[in-house]
Amino acid sequence: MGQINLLVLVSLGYVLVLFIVAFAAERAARAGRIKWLRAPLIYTLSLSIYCTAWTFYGAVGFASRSGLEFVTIYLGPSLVMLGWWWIVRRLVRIGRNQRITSIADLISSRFGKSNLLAVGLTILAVVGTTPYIALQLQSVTQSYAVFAETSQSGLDQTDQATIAFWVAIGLGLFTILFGTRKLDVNERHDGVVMAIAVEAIVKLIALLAVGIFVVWGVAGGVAPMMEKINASDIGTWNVSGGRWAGLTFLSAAAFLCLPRMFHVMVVENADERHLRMASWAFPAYLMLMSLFVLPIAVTGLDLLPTGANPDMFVLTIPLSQGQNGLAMLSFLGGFSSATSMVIVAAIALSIMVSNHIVMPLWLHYSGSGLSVSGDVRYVVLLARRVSIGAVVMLAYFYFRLSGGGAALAAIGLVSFAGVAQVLPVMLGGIFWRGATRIGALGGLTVGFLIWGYSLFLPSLGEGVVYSQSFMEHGPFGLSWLAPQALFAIKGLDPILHCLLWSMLLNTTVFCLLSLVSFPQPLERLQGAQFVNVFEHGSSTRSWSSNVAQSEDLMVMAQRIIGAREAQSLFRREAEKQGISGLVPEPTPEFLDVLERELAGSVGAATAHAMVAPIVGGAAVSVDDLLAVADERAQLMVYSNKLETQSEELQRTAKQLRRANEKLTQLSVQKDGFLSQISHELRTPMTSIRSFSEILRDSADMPPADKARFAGIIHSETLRLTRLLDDLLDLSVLEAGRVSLNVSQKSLREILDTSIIGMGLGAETGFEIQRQRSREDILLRTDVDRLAQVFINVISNARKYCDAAAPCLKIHVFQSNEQVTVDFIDNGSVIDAGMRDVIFEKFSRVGENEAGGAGLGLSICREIMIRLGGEIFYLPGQGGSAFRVQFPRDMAQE
Amino acid sequence: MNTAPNGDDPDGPPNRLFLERRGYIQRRVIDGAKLLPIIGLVLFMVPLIWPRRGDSDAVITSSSSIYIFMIWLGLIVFGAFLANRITASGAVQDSKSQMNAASDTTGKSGQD
Repeated sequence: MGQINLLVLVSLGYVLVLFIVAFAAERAARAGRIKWLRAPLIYTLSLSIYCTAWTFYGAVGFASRSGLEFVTIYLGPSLVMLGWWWIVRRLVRIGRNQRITSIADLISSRFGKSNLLAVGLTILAVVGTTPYIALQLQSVTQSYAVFAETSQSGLDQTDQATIAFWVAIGLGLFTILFGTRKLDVNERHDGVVMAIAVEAIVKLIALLAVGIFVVWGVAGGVAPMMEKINASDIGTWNVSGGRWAGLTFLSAAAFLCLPRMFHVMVVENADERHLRMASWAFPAYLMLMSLFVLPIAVTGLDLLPTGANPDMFVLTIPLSQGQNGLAMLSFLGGFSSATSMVIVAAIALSIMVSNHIVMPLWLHYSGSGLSVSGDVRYVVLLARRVSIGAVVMLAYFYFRLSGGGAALAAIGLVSFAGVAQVLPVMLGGIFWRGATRIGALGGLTVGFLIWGYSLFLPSLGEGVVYSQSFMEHGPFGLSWLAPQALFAIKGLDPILHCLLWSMLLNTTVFCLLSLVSFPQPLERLQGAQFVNVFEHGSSTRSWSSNVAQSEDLMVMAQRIIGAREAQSLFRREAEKQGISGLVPEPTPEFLDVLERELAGSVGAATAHAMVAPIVGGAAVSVDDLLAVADERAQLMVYSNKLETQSEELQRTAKQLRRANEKLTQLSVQKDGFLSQISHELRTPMTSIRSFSEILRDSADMPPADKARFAGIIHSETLRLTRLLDDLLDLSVLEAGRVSLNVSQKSLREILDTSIIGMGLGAETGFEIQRQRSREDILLRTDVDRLAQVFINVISNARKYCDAAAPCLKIHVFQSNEQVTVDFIDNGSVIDAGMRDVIFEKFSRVGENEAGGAGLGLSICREIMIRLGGEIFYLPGQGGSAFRVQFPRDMAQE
Repeated sequence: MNTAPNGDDPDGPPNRLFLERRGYIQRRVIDGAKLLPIIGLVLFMVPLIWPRRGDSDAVITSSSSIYIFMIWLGLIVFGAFLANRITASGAVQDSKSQMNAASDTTGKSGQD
């Protein structure tokens, strides 16, 4: 018994170390030193609870029976983690946004916070996991038994039961101590996570040590090992394609859906970025775990007698070689695989049981909402502690009842196939908004029924539930309903058979029912939040009315998440609303935040049920959903409007800038105008003054001179008058105070009058070419003003045309209601630089003595504007050319 | 144009047709991360067509082990490479607020 005593001592010592590690981690977390506790490596290692004792010991057994097939159990999870961007990242984000506490909570929360779904999944999780925990107990007792055999004392049934009992008690205590220490709003258990990280390292080292011993210690290197493998019974490839693909799929599905995996992967995840490391490091861990499985299996087959249990090769090989230390390490590896699985599975199950079964029942019987009395946290914690104890004890009794035989060993894959039934609903829930609660219920029910009927019950052993004839001929002789030959398809591997039919029908029913059923508003809301979790973090509201009393909510929240946390939450929310103090307005946004916080402690369905009575049961309705949609649409319209407005603003700013430039220019022009005008007035005034002085002072002037001087004075006065007339005219025109005298006259008559009025004829040497036939247009405008423009333009041509035989062509066009008159002479062209300024006041082309103050064209332009037309310089006509354009009938403009 | 951080956010609304170099590379790295498990699945399913025991030239276990473990290792190495490339620019960070801020500043010029 010395060996056994040592073993017990080592186990106890190991457990003590775990306690210390967990305790230290908890203390560090409380002290705020959580940085290294929540490192990506710790997260990655915590995922290793996937490798239970069943994989630690069983993988070798698996390999010695069917070669490389065992590796499928690791390939599935590897692919899932390598494809983290697809599913795991989404799950983790949803888990954090929605404060998901378990996989049942995820499904329930997604499908309208349905408690029915949560309860059903919880029960199934307990049913599926309890045998698995029993399996861990079995593996621990078996490993004790192996040691006992070598010490020739043996281990009888009662001893095994005692060991299993104490292991169960110890694990239960550990789990209660570190798993239900506090009711954390995030459900994170630093102590537990740290402990399982340590266990992950222990089991990896143990398996690697045995592997290295086997390859280099026994076989003598890699090449001899390879030869040995090829020469063994499993030396050639003999894996059925169906099992290869099917088991890979099954392990991938189980990896996502196992309650304990979901717990460490999603609920305990402290930081989404940890996934980046886990995405490759966890597959690497799995690869190392499976690296030496085949060599160990082959060595065991080679060295040990034919009857030896291949599941225990990891222990029996070192023992047979006298390597007791290595055997002890290997034992610890298996022990840690078993304990970490039991601990996390028990925590995950206890959260589900307390949140989805105990709390709803307790709320139902003790009254919900405000009438809840006492600190609910103690109820929740108590429920968890009791459920942990119950789960572990249940597993113990299962172990006792099943007798710990081979039937139990088969439970691994059976359990996988059971939890895999959640996969279609889970993936549908996070990727498809159209998935409904009815569909999920239908799919899960069908899936679990088929699993139970065709795999779980038969796995209990022939004669336990089904008789042999039932297995062969089906119920009531309906052979197509035989449990492992559904629809009369016989000969399939039982696991594959169940997987095929359950997943197929599960998915089909889920999709069909989802398509034909109409979801409730809350389902639609949650569906949108789950599926679009990366698109907008802003949550749509799930509460519509605000009849709730904030004080009542505060009372309830304090009882669930604790007084201090509740108060800080309320203060934070009040600050967000701009209210000082502790009591925020019970707005829908606030209710949403509160409900999520509560969900972190008691699950979505329970939190919803607790908030609902206080709020008056007025949760979201279809109208509210539509209102939210409308709000979004309005927001979009609003932002579009903003965009157009800003564009408009830019346009206006540009216009304003232009106007400003023009005003500055005008101001400069005005100054120029004033100096010009004083100059223009001064020149004639000077000559009038000097000539009138001469006339006054020289009495004896010859009359001829007198007449000449008087003539000069007269002509200067005339010039002054003309200038003043023009100025007056221009100012009246510019001010827009001119009154137009509209009358009817033909264009030809106007041109005739203009030309005759100027005293121009053929004999003056200035030729005017006209197309009289085209001038026959009856105009209705201010005829006199138009004639003034014509006179001005023609006299300019006459004054400035420098051709030897000056000639002016007058072309007339009419298009629509617009009349165009072009005046083109054959003189020199006006400089391009001058063209812009000839219409400005006092601008004259060249220093010509021809007179005129340079106001003519300015006046013309003003007149044309008043007449609704325009006058401009027409380039490219061979001489100076002006175009006058105006409407035929002014009244119609 | 400033290099807006939303170029790194692969989940941002597809409001930009073209990205600057950094954002473009980031998207391709994410494409790689998405593609990796699919490639892995295909490679791991190759054994489905291997000749089995009893066939004249059944694959020996040492070859099949080397095949499986080499592919496994390759996937891990590529996975680590891609994961670190994503780390480099912090794509997984919750950059929603940054994104909003960025789309405000680049709202107009971001369209081209």
